Amino acid sequence: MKQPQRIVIVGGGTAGWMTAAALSQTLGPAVESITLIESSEIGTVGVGEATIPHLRYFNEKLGINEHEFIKRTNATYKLGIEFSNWGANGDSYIHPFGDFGTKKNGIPFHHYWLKAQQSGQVPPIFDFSLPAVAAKLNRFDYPQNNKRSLLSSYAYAFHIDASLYASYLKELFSGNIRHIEAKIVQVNKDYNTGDISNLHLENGVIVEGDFFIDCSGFKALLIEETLGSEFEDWSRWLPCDSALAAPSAQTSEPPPYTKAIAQEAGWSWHIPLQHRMGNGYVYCSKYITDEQALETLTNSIEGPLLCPPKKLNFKAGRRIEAWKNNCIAIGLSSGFLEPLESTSIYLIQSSIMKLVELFSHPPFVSASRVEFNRQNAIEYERIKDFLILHYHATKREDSEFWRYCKNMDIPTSLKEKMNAFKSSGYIAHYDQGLFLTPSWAAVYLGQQVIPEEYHPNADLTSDTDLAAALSALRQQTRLAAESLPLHKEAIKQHTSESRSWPSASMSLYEVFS
Amino acid sequence: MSGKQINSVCIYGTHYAPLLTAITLVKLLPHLQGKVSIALNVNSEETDNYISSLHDFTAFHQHLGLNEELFINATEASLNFAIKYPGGFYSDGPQHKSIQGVDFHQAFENSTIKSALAIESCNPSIVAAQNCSIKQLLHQRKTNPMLSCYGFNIATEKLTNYYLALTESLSIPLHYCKSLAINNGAEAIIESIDLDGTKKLEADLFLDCSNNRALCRQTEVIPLTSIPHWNKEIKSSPKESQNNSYATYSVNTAEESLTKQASTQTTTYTSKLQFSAKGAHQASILQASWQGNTIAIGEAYLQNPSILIDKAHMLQSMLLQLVDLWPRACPQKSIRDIFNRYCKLAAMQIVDIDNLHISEKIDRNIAPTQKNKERIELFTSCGGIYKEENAIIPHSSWPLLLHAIGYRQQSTNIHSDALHQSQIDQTIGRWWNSIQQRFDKR
Repeated sequence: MKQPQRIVIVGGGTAGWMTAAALSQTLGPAVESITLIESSEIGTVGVGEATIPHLRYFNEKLGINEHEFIKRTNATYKLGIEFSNWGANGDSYIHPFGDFGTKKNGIPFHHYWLKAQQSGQVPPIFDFSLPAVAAKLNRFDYPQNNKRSLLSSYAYAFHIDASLYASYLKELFSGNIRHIEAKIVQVNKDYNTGDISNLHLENGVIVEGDFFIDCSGFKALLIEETLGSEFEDWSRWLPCDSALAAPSAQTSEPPPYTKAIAQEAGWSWHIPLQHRMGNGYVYCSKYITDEQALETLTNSIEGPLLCPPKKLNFKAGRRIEAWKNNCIAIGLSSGFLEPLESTSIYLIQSSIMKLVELFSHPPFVSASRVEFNRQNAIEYERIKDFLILHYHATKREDSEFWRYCKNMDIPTSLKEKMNAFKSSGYIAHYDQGLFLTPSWAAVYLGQQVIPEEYHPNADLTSDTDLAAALSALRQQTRLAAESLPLHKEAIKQHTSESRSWPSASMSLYEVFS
Repeated sequence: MSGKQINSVCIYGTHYAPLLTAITLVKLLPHLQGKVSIALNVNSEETDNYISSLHDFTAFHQHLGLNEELFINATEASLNFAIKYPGGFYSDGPQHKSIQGVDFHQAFENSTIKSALAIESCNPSIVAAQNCSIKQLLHQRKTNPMLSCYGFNIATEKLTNYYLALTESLSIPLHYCKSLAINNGAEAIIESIDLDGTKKLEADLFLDCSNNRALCRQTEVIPLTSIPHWNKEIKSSPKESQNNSYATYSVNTAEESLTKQASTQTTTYTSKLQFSAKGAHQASILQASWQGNTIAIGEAYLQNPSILIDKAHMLQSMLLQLVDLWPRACPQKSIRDIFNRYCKLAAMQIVDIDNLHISEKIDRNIAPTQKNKERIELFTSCGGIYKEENAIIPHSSWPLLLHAIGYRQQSTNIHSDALHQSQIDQTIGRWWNSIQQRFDKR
């Protein structure tokens, strides 16, 4: 006998409203109720102003009009992230949402680039990425359908005002759920099962539930404070533990990429929205004071600050059991990975999608729980390795922080990947988790991790032929990028005309799983 | 560059494995042309005289650019679209996509059609395999995308002869031998091998494609206790009149045995796997595939009863990974470590699939592996599918396999409950109709 489920979501930030929206659309008719409890007295972090292309899938599944979404969240388009001063001071590269060149003789393009590089002068590999070139030219348009065109070789994401996104979802979907504005004062458990049974609210109301979703952010009210799910600390590899965030006025045209600039003890972000710039400094408090961080941040911002900087404290890591008993943690309550690769909203989305697939009726939940936690661990572990790579693959020794990062002992899984790349240019590919070959190639090569060798099949093309092919491809890439409209014009055109946006699956390309 | 440059590769083995290995290396790594030689031992008996493969074999041949028509003509192979178990059919062919984000098998479980139809009647490969003649399928596979996934049933002798002709056309030196002596250097390095005491072959890299780990005698062998010991007996007879393009499994729980039957165009093969503590064969794996300058490939690395996944699969899977990683020099620790880890993961997937067939269903003394425990519990409780890296069985085919082996889901996920009943019935009904119309008995 299938018992209708009463789902209770705790927290009304980005995670809470994304969860409420998705569950109301996918599970709505099959559950008894979905309740979201939030309190305006408790602020939200509003994580993830920069996103990755997967968000388009999520919005598409919710039936959201992309143009309306752009207007409501003051979004700009995003073709990648520019990393400055990471491999060495003065270095800069773009991790683009797209591939480099094309695969030939069964091997990725970067092997050909490595061959050309060993034989002489060659332009940066980023000159062979349409989204990287277009981003630097401040141009954007939807990717094309024609797979033979260079203009089909990329995906796109958005820079958004995350709190506006949460509000927009609230407006669209709150009618499908029970929405309560109140503070939770007590969480009660069933002493036999250890499950959460109900929540006492400040106004005296008791909210009963069968399944609880903890979107309470860093507080982790249910998953940690109530159920005691343990946290795996990754701060030895990702030592940044603080952030200062402050919006500023726009002083120039918003570029279609995020900026991540390595600083003395961390990195600063600059996220261009239509109406303002999102800025922040993620740093390690062991190496600089809050005052020093503030000074660095304010020096890196061009326009006037729109409000005083907000301080956040965190610890990198993940909840070992993100699903414990009858509770799942989604968002910051389930773990924290700094937003260096804009994965915060993706991790929310990924948890929701796993939950929708695995959510089952009692008494059949234990197998689903085990599988959810296993998949969740893989997801976090793979992003963790990729983030650590950014810090570790550096020549910087100009501060104690960078000396630590350069010399720290990294996880075996990353060590193995890096060693294989350094020796032969091989990039391990996997089909579960984020970041595929082009992403790893971008960070390795952008941060001057140059392999000793390349795949022997690259030698099937002669030096002369390769030089000619690279020269032609570089020129075609440049011309194709120059043919795109300016980013600002694209936003204006797309939101004012009836031109439809491409389906999310088409534009996701092969950069991400 | 560290290590010694690889200027020569010697492949030692029996039957088709060393030949396919050499062909793969030369075709996918053209710089090895003229650097690869084969030592083919003709004194070793092939334990399996046929292969009943899944789709990966066909895909591998396509990857090598081999002409399928010529291959079929030369080997008299038949197509294998499905495998019939006592509990149902398995196929790795394409399925209906998800219905509003709900996996097809979950939606099917909630349909009213379920009471009248078996889930395999909604799989084009299975319906076609049952209803169409080999001749029809040989023709239709080229034009109908619903029939894009199939394996082959092939006699290994004919497969070996086909690859022999190919190695000759690729000018790969081939040395026949009956005995082998190894000349070891320092630190697990093979310097050369002597064939029949008369011919010495030196190489920078040696690949062991034997079925008795002839080059890897010094490498630690790890027994795999999740599979019981077994004996295998194979009989062949002229092909029976039936035209079906599927292999069959029958399970005898009383005898703790598993019988598989598959037909090429001319011959029907029946193999019986009998499991017992006294069985002559024991499943085992090498501690590492790649040690020093020697790589154990296929059966030299993993020895198992090959219940669903044929022996060629492990060989092909390892070869593709080796080609991807191919080093210019040897030994190269970083490459070797990644290769060894990959091989272990691929092998353990096969071991898990073997274990899934045997544990509880055939031999109650054999417990499911931890992964199978989780897999079975997830499926039987709510139809969930355990997700795997580089999965041999496609995600959408797992429900068919688990169902065929005898596992039934007790419930569905809640997402599928949210779909409208009439919508599920209509979608599945339309899909079923389109399959029946295309592949109805004619």
